[in-house]
Amino acid sequence: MKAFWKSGELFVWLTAAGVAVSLLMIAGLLVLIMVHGLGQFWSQNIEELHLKDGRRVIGQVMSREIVPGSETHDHPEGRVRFRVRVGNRDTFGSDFRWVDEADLHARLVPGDLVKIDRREWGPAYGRLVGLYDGPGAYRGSEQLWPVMESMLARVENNRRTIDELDERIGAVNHEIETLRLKRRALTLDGTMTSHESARDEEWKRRISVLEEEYQ
Amino acid sequence: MLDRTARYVVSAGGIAVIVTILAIFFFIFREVTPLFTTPTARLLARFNVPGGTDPQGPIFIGTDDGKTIAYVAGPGGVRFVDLSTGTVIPMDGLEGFPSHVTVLAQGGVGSNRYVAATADGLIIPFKMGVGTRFAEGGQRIHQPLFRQSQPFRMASGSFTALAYRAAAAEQGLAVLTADGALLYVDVPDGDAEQRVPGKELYRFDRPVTHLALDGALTNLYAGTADGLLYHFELKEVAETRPSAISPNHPGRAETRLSPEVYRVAREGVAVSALGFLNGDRSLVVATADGDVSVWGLTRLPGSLGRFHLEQMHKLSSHRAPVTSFSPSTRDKGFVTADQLGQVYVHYATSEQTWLRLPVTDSAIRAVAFAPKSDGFVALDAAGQLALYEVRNPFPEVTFQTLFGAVWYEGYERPEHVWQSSSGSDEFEPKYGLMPLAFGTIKGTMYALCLAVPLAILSAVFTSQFMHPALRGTIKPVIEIMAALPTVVLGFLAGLWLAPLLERFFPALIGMFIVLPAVIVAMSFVWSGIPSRLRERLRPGTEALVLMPLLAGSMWLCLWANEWIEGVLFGGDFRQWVLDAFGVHYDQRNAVVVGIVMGFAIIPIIYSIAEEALSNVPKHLIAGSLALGATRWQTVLRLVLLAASPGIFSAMMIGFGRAVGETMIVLMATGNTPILDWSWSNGFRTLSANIAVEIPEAPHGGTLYRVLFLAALLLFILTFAINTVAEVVRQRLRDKYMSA
Repeated sequence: MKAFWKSGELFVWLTAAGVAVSLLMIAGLLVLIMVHGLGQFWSQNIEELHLKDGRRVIGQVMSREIVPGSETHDHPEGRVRFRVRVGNRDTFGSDFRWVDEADLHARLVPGDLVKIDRREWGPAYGRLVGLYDGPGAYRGSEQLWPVMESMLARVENNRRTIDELDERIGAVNHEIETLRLKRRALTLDGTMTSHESARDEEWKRRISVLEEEYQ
Repeated sequence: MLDRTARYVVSAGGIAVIVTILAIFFFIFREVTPLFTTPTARLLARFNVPGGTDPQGPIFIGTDDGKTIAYVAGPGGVRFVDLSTGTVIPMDGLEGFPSHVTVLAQGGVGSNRYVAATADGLIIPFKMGVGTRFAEGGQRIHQPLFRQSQPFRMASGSFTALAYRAAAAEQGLAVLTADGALLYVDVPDGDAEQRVPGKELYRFDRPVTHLALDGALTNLYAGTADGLLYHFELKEVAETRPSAISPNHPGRAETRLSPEVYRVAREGVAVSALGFLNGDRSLVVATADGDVSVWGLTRLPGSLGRFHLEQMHKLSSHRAPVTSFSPSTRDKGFVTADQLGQVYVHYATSEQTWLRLPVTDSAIRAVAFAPKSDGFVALDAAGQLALYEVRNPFPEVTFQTLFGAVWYEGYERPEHVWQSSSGSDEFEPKYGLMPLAFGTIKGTMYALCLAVPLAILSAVFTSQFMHPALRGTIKPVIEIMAALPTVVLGFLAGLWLAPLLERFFPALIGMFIVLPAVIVAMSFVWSGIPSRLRERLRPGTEALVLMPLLAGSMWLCLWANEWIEGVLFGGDFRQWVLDAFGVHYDQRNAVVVGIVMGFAIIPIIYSIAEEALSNVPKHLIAGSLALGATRWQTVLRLVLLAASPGIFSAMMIGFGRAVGETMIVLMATGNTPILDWSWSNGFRTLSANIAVEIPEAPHGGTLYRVLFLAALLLFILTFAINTVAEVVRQRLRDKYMSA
């Protein structure tokens, strides 16, 4: 026993523990970052939660937690609640809501729930009932998902065209502005070549008018 | 050929690095030096104001932002003087101003509303100032403004002193009649009645020289001719009914206040100037002895709500009685003028009299600090008006205010505080760097507490007890920790670790008990294994064996968190901390920062320490082992000693790194600049402070330059530490290479 103590093997193990803890910290950190980061690619199912009072909540269950401060003597684990992403911020006012496990009656995963990412007001959750294809053209009877996919493709194309035109208009405006400044510089020195650049600018202005009409 | 180009390229690189560092140092230095330049003043113009030698009486003087027009109000009437030519600007509406004005008062620092009282008891409110108008070409034109309101009467007889305050919604007026009655009234707006009753607050039995009323219309001060200062709290007055009082019937007074009396000057020395600084919290008292001091209300310890006036700052005394005083409208500076014609420019917070100027030869009757604190106008008894320009851009910064304890407005004693900005000009900026420096040291100490043991132990094991192949794998893995951006670490610390630790702190304490126990137990078990089996395993597998064991015990502690909390801390950890230490547990505290910053520093200390330990000559180790020492005895008595300079320099470099760490402390602490060593609350470091405040600091302003000073401090500190560490390391290398 004493020999063991004198040999100092215990301290060797202490140093080994140092390496072990460091390695655990690194591994733990990397795993944590990977799980939380890559986990964004495997998103949760869109569920329909049926509450005990008959109401239904549609959304994705993002996390589960124990309500802080709810541990009491008869319920040492405390109350559990789910954080559900219900989207539709323009209707509900907030993106997320809490659902207590005690209020929950059933969790279903129906196949026809959709989540649509929008440019404003965040994602929308729900069921597709109908589509508006241009003013006055309402389609509600057929299989809506393939129709929506083709409509989305069209919208994407239009957006791309709009962006391109925006860039071209910007370029033309930039040219006009440069020529305007050059003209102003010339008029401040003397008016000899101002006729030429004035003509140039007229021409550019005519082009931009044409482009806007084209749009 | 290749050698030469390589040499040139490397030298050029090295020189570039040195030049860059020097350039950074000089740039920072250049941004800081303006803070400590001496202020200067310059006479711009001197005029003889026509009709300037008015009969004796109160005179009030003022000027505008651009120092283009000065206005004088006094017994000779109101005059506007063009400061570029010295001529009086003709104006209509000035004729109605009475010529027997006995007292004048301004409605607050920087206010353009005044009241004047005449010898027969008439009170005239008026507005006087300089307005701006923009001309065709966009130039700014200054024009004088004067508007007199309907006068009213408060009591019969003349008044000896007046205090007036025009606050946002109401106006308060306090007058002292010739027989010592102090009356107070809320000035009516419509002036419907000619006679306004004033509430009598007090009756003085000694002559009073000055009155001052603060912006909240709560505190009224009266300075007497024998060096006493009376303080009245007016809060109760509003609740009582006003009574029509005339000074001839003092017995019928309904409400009488009991004032606090303070001695502010020697017996028989009069209070010759009294007024508030910008913000209405500091009271400037100047005496006939020439003393200038700043007083403020502080709360008495223990009692609830009772205030006590204390002398906060004492400034340089004049050599003659002080005649006039004018506060700055922007900060806590002010000017005082005396009977010898000298003007002193002071700053209250830093307790400095920055300039002493001999302006004229005769007594100065009135002085006014320009609104931008960049000059003043002074009118003397000979009727001369002098205009001075003052350049003192950083009056609140001295070595004492940066590094010493300063008595700020509203505080009970001098303290070290960092609170650099707020919403209004009335705020007193507090640039105490001590809490920040303290925070830097605190964060570094907590980080080193975790990092140094782990890093040194790991380095010892990796260099001494590990098989080289295993070492070649483990060493880079640990050094990978250095590659993690500290923003990620800070983010995780603040958002993931801090809430987790708040719930599982008992488990952490449990780990301090369980993990060493597991290590000790494992070492016993290992030595019990037959040595034939042990020798077959590569040296260094102890660490690999420990990893799952320690992970398992940590998990066990987390799982048993509530049980540990119940057993060790009586069921509620936060309550236990409050009872045992008297501190409140903050979620973002020093332990969280220590853990995460330690994580960031471990690879740095580890690399250098490991290198130092590996460079101990192998023949020494071999000799020790051959002579019969166990491997631990060799390490403890030989290797550690031989490598101690290297280990020391590793710690110093880790220290230098921790001092400069910004993002982790920014995100994981509460960023509170406090002077408290406790592990349960946060702190603010110099580096995080710079990161937080520099985007909002006005370019070239005081805060901007003080932040650069903080950067300079950090730069010098890190530079010094790293230089010393590097020198020690070089010497170690030379020593062992030659062996």
